[in-house]
Amino acid sequence: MLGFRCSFGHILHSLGLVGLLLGGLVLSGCAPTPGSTLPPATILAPEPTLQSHTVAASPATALAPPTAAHAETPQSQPTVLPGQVIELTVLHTSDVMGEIDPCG
Amino acid sequence: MARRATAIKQERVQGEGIVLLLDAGSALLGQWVSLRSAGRVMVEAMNAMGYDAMAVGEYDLAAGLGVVKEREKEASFPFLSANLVTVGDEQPIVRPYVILERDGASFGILGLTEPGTREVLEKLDGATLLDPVEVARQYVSELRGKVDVLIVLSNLGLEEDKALAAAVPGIDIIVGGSSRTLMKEPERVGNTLIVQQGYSGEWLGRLQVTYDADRQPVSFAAEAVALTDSFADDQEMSALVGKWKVLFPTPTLRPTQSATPGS
Repeated sequence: MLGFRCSFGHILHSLGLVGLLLGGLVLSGCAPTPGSTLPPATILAPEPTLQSHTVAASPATALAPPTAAHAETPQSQPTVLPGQVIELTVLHTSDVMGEIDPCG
Repeated sequence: MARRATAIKQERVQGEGIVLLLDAGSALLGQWVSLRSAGRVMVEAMNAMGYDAMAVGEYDLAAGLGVVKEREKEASFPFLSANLVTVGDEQPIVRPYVILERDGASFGILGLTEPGTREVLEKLDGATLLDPVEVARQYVSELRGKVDVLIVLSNLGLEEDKALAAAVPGIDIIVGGSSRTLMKEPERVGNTLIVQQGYSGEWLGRLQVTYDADRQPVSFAAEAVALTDSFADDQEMSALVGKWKVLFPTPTLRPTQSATPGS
């Protein structure tokens, strides 16, 4: 095993320092609109199970208890015919921790 | 990030079979620009790279559930956690799983969040974490007969992933995170393959598996692709990241008067 673990408290502390400015940024709407250059996956799975609720602009803002609905059970069935081989490549990342430079 | 985008594009061109791009969590927050943007830069970049799903990890929750929900809305891929639920009625806060259909095959992807986050969630109203093994047992039972390949995106850690695979048969692949492990080869527990490749975006994991007609793994290979400068920067991704760097320039440290020699 390689690596280290950052302190969760360090992240929270950092968030606290930028919280006020971040809140102002969110409210001012000056952030770019997210975009995508690749087609999204075909999603057959349950829709988000929460109704929308107010965004917490400040990291310290607590959420009101959300109202949720049960996830619907997908109705899809396997569509690959018997005897058909599946060749799968899974590309994966984890614990990127918001790293954008130089390798992230 | 720009190297990762290049590597992913190359893998999509060169890779054989169906390609899925997944993140096992704790992706959004940590570095200066990502913190200042509350994870927006990461979601925008992951949208551009074509991620198929992401588990919600411990560090993704550091800015609060409201921020997670906002980033989820902006993402073109689902945020997943089956055991992150509301207090009381225990309803999922994000999608517990997703089923992706590719080239006639169906892939169930279930998300799990590290229970250690409970300490943080106790400071927030409205959420808690259930035991991931019990939750996985429930969802695996539900999904197993409906998909060709069942993948768990786990933010539990490697040892916990091994225990999960032993306790809950029927999982084909566990893509792990949290313990920041760089695995030389996949762990195999029964028919479950477990992979995890590093941290801080310095590696891209690649797992190739061939399943026979009975959906048994007949061959597999895994590699940690180190994102060194052998990968050129993807220009579109460089521009995307650069835009956010302008918005949130990294502060530079200046010596204070008290630190000046002679003062």
